[in-house]
Amino acid sequence: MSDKTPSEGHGAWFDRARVAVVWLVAVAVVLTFRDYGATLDEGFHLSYGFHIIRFYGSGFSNHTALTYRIDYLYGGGFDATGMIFRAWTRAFLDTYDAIHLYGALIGVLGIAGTGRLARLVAGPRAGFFAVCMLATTSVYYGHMFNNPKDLPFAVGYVWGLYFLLRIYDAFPRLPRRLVIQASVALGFAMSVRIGGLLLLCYLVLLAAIFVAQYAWTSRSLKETYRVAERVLLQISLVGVGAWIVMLVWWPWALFDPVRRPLAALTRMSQFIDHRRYMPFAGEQVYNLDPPWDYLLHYFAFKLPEYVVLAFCVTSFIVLGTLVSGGLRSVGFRRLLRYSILALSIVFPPIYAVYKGSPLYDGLRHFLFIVPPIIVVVAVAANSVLDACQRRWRGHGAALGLAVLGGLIPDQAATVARYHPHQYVYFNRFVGGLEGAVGQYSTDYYAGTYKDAAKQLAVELWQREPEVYLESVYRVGGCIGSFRAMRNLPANFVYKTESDPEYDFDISYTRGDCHLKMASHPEYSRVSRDGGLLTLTRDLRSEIFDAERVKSFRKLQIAERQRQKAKKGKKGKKGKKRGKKKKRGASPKPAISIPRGSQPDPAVPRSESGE
Amino acid sequence: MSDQAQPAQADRSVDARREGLAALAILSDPNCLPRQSAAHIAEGWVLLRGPSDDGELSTWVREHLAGLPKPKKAQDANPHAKSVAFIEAWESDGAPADLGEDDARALVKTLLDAVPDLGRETTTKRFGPLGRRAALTAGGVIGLALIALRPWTYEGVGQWHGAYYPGKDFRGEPDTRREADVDFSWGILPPTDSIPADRFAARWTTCLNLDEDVDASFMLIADDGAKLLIDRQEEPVLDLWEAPEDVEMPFSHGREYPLEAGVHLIEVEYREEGEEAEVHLLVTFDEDIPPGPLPSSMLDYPGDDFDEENPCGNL
Repeated sequence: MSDKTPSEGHGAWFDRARVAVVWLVAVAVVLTFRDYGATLDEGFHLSYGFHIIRFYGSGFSNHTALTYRIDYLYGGGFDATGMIFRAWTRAFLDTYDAIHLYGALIGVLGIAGTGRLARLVAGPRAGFFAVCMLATTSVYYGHMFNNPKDLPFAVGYVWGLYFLLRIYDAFPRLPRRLVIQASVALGFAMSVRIGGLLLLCYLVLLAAIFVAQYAWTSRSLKETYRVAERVLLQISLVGVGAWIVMLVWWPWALFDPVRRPLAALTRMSQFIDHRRYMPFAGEQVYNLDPPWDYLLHYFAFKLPEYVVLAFCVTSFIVLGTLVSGGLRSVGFRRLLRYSILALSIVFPPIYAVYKGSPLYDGLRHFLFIVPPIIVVVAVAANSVLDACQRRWRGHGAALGLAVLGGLIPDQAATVARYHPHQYVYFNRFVGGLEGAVGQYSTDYYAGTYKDAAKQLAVELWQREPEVYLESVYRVGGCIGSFRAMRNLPANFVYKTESDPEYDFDISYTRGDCHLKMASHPEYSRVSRDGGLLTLTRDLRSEIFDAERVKSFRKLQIAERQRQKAKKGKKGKKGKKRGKKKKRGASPKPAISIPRGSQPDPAVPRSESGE
Repeated sequence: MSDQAQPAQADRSVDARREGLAALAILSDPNCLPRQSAAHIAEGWVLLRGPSDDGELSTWVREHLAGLPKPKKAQDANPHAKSVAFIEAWESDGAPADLGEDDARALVKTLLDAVPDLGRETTTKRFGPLGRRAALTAGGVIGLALIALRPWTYEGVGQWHGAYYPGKDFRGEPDTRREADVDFSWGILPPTDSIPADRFAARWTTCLNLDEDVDASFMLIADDGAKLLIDRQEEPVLDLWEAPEDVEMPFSHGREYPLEAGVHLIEVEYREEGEEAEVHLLVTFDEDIPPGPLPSSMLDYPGDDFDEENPCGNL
């Protein structure tokens, strides 16, 4: 069944409302994308995208993309197209702003795909509910802007599911357009993460079910064989098309199109390149040996409360009905759709737990099952409303809509309140973000540094403008110079390795970084709902008195001079670290801090900054 | 079309469209042969013509299709002729036995395209061949692009005239170019290809256009020497040309400076002694906002070959 069949009555209204919500989110995105900070992974992905384009631009002679960090194991579906987008918008947008805009628009596409999937499964009203719910799911919305891997994969996954269900409806005669659309969706998902192969497995499963059902209804072996042949040919077309789409953006895989993607899949399922301890339920756990309920906790605490409750209740009802045999009345096609949805949600995390895959950074690697979860909840809400409507007619529907009308604005307010750090959201089951700090990974992506840096500059200017005009402040933190410095004015420099003294420490909460300078007073903080995200400490003095700060700085300078002169006397004259020079007796800092916008990964020299 | 006839036409259109969709449903059913959709396609054309029309259905179909926009691609030209041929065959012998799936789909598409949709017709007239949905989508995308990119804030090639001298005393032939801002961190690299990395000088010139009197806070950060001159007054507004003994590089100097409404010549001079090189000019006109780059919207470019005596004189 095509979703393009004209809807009637309320259906058409819900369709229009669904599209309107998607456009509304797109407008919100273009108005706010500049507010989002650069996350830890982004720089590498920007460079990888550049190298992929350069691979083609150099006539396949530049092979940097084939060996670039561990990124070569990923396709560059997002990174390379993002590089093209950055090139188009270079005149208007900073490189990071451009990729944030691009990512967020891809995220909006994911919201649209979720709406379509829900509509296909349960009609226009469910589609409308799904877009409203996903657009106000903070963990999804927040990742749209600066997650170059998990979010695009989630988008490819949900569109892939949508086209798979449409393919089943169109078997055994797939329109050419559907073959192309499905190939692009599946190929895009696989080109972001090879785990998208799952979608091809679902496709084979659907084809097998169709043939089995056909055999059952036709009772003709000959006819079944003919149909099976045709179905096999058509899913092969989809599979080959998707594989080609994947390979186009993946130079490393191009050199061995079959074995290398499969090798990448094996590597990715046992990804051990990140080893760390991380907070989980108040304890520190090792990411290579996560507890079995790691993902359960994060899904229970990071999705909106009503989504968690509705999903659990729906799951129990479906299981109960399954056991009692009540699902027979649902109808085969609808049951199959529900089953594929359930499989797409349940299988990946169960497989990860079964295989003991390394896990870290909360649920972000499983962000792709958030849209299908939302679809299930939207379909359930739609069914409840249907039941209410049947029982109490208009009153029931009005009541149901009123309940949803209360829940969704609550989440929309949360999205607004957490702006631009929506991805750190934790729900009330764990006490909100405040309850989660120290217990779970919150700002694992360091996306809050941009806010912290801007806040520091503004507060310094407002508190001590005269000192500010005469000062070059030194800052440090646990994050390296680029993220700390990117949003600070030119009169801020990053601490040097050779000179451990600095004026302000900007630290996020990952690895308890914010406690490392605990003896120094707090200067400013970034927090949401009472939960600390980033803390800036003043290492100069406890009293913010302009004159005292001035004299303190002079003392600092004098002390540095003295120490360096002392070092010089100890016979280390010849030992130069980097480029140093002196004006009078004062040595110059050993590093030069890049200024202005982040060095464009398009310029190879900038890679060293990452 | 009269008001009385319009509802009947609309009903027929709906019915004809449903016949087309029924034909599609048959084509999607593996248990059905493509020729089984023929009756629905033919019935769709009959409904479309209406009861009042006399004569051959195929003639009417030919005339009706002739009034529709021609298919966009050359290979799509056949469906119209195929539809006429199909109706002729239908009128004489019924459903063609050899009707294939692709042909049947093309016939359905032609039928559905031919179904008059009053709303769509109006939209097509207003928005061109794309139709309302495509026009709205295109409009939305353009609107989003404008909001996102804000082309009206595009700085172009910059409002600063930059002159880079190969000697640190502003000697020699300068290398000139337009700059967006005085915000440079060259490190150990030269500012241009023809200027050495060390012992060079640079001067940036622009014209600041103020609508009202303001108290501006200027700030220079430099490694090595720099100064800010406004309206070529004898004393530089900010002078970092000779840095104090006990100051580390880069160093900063700033002050509040009142400016009257009108055009002001702003010049930044810089000299590099050796090794690392950087210079930044920051300004704020608001006591709550820390100094940042001078907004291009407030600046005018003095020109490539401006009058050295009065660079902003022609503005």
